[in-house]
Amino acid sequence: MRRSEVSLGVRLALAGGRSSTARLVVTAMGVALGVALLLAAGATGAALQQRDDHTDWREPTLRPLGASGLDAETGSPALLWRASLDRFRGNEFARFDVAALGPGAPVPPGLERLPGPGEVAASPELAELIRTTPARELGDRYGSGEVTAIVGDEGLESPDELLVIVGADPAMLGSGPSVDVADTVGDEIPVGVPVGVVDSFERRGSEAAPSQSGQVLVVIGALALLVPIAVLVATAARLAAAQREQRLATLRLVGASPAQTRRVAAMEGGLVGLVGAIAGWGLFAALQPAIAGLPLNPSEGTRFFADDLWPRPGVVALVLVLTPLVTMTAAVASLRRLDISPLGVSRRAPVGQPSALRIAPLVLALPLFALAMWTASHGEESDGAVALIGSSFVLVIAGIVSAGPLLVWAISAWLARHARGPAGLVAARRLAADPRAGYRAIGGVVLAVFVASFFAGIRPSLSFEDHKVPTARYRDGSVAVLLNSGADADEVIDAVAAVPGTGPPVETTLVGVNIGGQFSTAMVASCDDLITVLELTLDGGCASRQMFTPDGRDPGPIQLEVFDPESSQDPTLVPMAAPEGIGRIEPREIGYNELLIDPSLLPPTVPQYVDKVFVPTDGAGRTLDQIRTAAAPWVLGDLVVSELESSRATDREISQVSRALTLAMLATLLVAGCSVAIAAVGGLLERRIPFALLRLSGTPLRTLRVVVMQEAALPLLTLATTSAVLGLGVSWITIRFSGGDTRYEWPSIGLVAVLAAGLATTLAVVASILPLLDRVTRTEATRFE
Amino acid sequence: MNATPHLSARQVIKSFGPTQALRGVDIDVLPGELVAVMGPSGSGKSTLLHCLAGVLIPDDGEVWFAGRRVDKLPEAERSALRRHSFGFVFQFGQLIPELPAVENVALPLLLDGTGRRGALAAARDALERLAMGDFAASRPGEMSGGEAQRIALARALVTQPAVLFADEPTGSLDSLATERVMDLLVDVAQEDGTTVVLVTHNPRVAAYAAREVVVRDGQTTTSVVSAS
Repeated sequence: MRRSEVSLGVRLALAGGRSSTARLVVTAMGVALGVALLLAAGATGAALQQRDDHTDWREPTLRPLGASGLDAETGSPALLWRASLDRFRGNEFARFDVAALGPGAPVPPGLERLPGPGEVAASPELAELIRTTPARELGDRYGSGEVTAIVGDEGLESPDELLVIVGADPAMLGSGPSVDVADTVGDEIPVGVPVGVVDSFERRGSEAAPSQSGQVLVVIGALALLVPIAVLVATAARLAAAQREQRLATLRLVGASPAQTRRVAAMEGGLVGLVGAIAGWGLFAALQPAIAGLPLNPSEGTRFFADDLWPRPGVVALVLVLTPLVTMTAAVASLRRLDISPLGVSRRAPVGQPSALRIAPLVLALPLFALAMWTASHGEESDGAVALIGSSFVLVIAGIVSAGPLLVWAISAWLARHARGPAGLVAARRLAADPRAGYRAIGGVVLAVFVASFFAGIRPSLSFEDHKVPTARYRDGSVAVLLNSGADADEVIDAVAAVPGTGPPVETTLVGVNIGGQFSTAMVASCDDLITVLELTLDGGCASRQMFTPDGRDPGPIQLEVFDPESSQDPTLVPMAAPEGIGRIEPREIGYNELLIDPSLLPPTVPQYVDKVFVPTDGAGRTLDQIRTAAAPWVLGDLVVSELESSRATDREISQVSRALTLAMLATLLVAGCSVAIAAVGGLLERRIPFALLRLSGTPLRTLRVVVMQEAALPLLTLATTSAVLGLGVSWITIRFSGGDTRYEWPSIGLVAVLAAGLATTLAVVASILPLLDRVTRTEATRFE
Repeated sequence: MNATPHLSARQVIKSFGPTQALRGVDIDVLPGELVAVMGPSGSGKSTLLHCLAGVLIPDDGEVWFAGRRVDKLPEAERSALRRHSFGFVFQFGQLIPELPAVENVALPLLLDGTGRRGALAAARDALERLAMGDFAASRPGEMSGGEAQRIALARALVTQPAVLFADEPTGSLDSLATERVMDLLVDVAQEDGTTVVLVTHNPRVAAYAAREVVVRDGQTTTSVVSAS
């Protein structure tokens, strides 16, 4: 490219005059908005990576205490480590118990030194809670209850995070089960949180934590945004194409070759992209503090550290380089359809009625997608099945893109037949003249609506699936304390019974049973006691029945397993007394145990270990936290559970997903709305002379306004509604053909309202350009120079 | 005046779809000659000018300029011909509204690779020559129709072309402005020895030419020497 061509391109892009400056500003603003959103997505990705770096230390390589135990390790530059979870007012957070084994023990990031026995290090947010909450509800859980150090940012995943590191005596912490012997009962409940030795908190290189679901979400979100952003940038780059074509024709007249005009157009487009990209960076930088205040961090909906929320330099460089390339390509691509002769645009690629075959990909894609879902759910899990689902979903999207112009043409044909006034007729004919351009303007919104309504359709059904299998349900306010192995049940019961607002505790034990050679487990508890704390679906209540089985029948003789804790030999089997009266019970309501046995059936020789203590409470969060604090010397906080907290956690998760979904929907609709507005501005500028002549000859401005609005609104609303129905249909196919007994749940009215509000905003954005119509169609616009 | 035609068309035929605009036109233009192509609206006179200038390619026939077969030249060479040897003035629409007058005039030089400084200096000279120096920084939208046409004329002449093609150059001007533009056009062309092909339907404008060629229904019917 010659210097003169470069300077000419620059000159044409930047050369003044109010209308060309306005065009440059609108174009650059459109590009800038897209770039700012891309950078925000990049910044979120970087912040997630930073968050992982901040929290990497929490999963150090653990090794068990050697065979010779604690004595052999004493004095070594290592520490004893136990990671567990705690809860306060329903919020879950990490608790780490640490005990230095010798000098030089590693120190977690964010701390200057390891907390000694009795010392507590807390995140700023938790330290504040400890300071302002009565000690019996929170602080007393951590020994003295006095926070001696604050964990710095480099050890936290979010400025809002709750986190505690409790210093302990090595002998005390070392008495817990070691990592190699820790086990679980059933599938999920740890009886003892393992204690291990940590030699270093250094990053583990290739063993670093794998990509987290949050990052996957951000990638999907960024990709979902990318399409409307690309549409926005390309639309902005094509703004006022007609004027550019006229300029290029003039260049051809004075001797520019076609290649020269392409190069000049590319230069002009690239420069606008560059200005937009730089402005986008500025916009992002200006908005960054506000973005940092949003609860974007997927974990618990917290904020990111403001300093972390910057895209990596490589990403910034990539965006700054790629954006001008995209606008350059869009500018050149728009010339591809034109043959610009020295006399003006002499030929356009043929437009008009699109082929009916354009609907074919969509018609094929929907059954293919259903088939892919059905195949995947009825066959072996395989990469091929997943690939088929993915590719048929992409085909559905491609089908929408393909069918879009045909639908626009059909709408224009309908409008042309039914238009009563000149506005409708002009709008219809304009759409019919180039339905692809009509679709291009609204394509971003159409795709955004499809993706949003698909997720809106999927989401309620998934949460329904989460809850469709009823597990053990606690009665209102009941709390279960899951005992660590070795915890003294009597001490725990005494401590929690003393908490104000609690009722008489109910203890349950667990015993292994052998029924006809099949080994299983049974819960041992009095039915009458148990129904005071658990919601049980018993036919006829307890009614003096001593045993409950899944089918309500007598399974035959039952032998109880008796373990000798001092020996590793197989358990001995002791016959159980025959029960008087047998009832039916759902195993999942008693923690997936096979039987519920009354304690009176167990011979006194069979030792009983209490595994759970249920405590009826007044349901207050304060009471729950006091129970947790009272049990803290024996039971870690997360092992005190309540139905209320679990459902709150689920609700929070659902609301986070909904919020993320709503944000994503609004962001995509905003971007797509800007594309529509820019396309409308472009259309307006291109037709300023005919519009001005119409006005000059007496057409009211109101009629011209209706033309502009109808051109945008009619295809937009029709196609958006169609794609919303398609999105819901595809979500229905996904749920209906995915196997299992998941019922399809219609999306909530709230999500539909958000979608409708997004579309209304898009139309409002289009309406906001109408004042421009007055300015660009004044009499002076009829001048040709 | 050399008797060898500088620019000529032989049996040129050009159609646009079913409409035949030129039906075998013959014309010869001598070096330094000012020829007016006259005819009613839709007679094919503009199409003839475009074919002579290599803007349009005839469906049949030949177009010659300075011994070269213009209609057989590839697009790049025809573009180069327009840059170096031809200048154009149309009725309207040929100035770039975003550029000030001086840059509009400098365009052909910039496209030909002349440095920005040199191109602008030449453009200023051209403007001065047409007494339009004061308008160098003005944009087309800020000028009257006659002033814009004089800028277009300056741009057409800045490369000192061998042939100037003018298609209804005064079509949108009042009589006073028409007179000014035509006086300039004739004076400068005569000073430089530039051949001028002038398309017009206005007999008063045609009167500036040394010879008139009348086109009717796509054919040249008469060629008369102007009385003036």
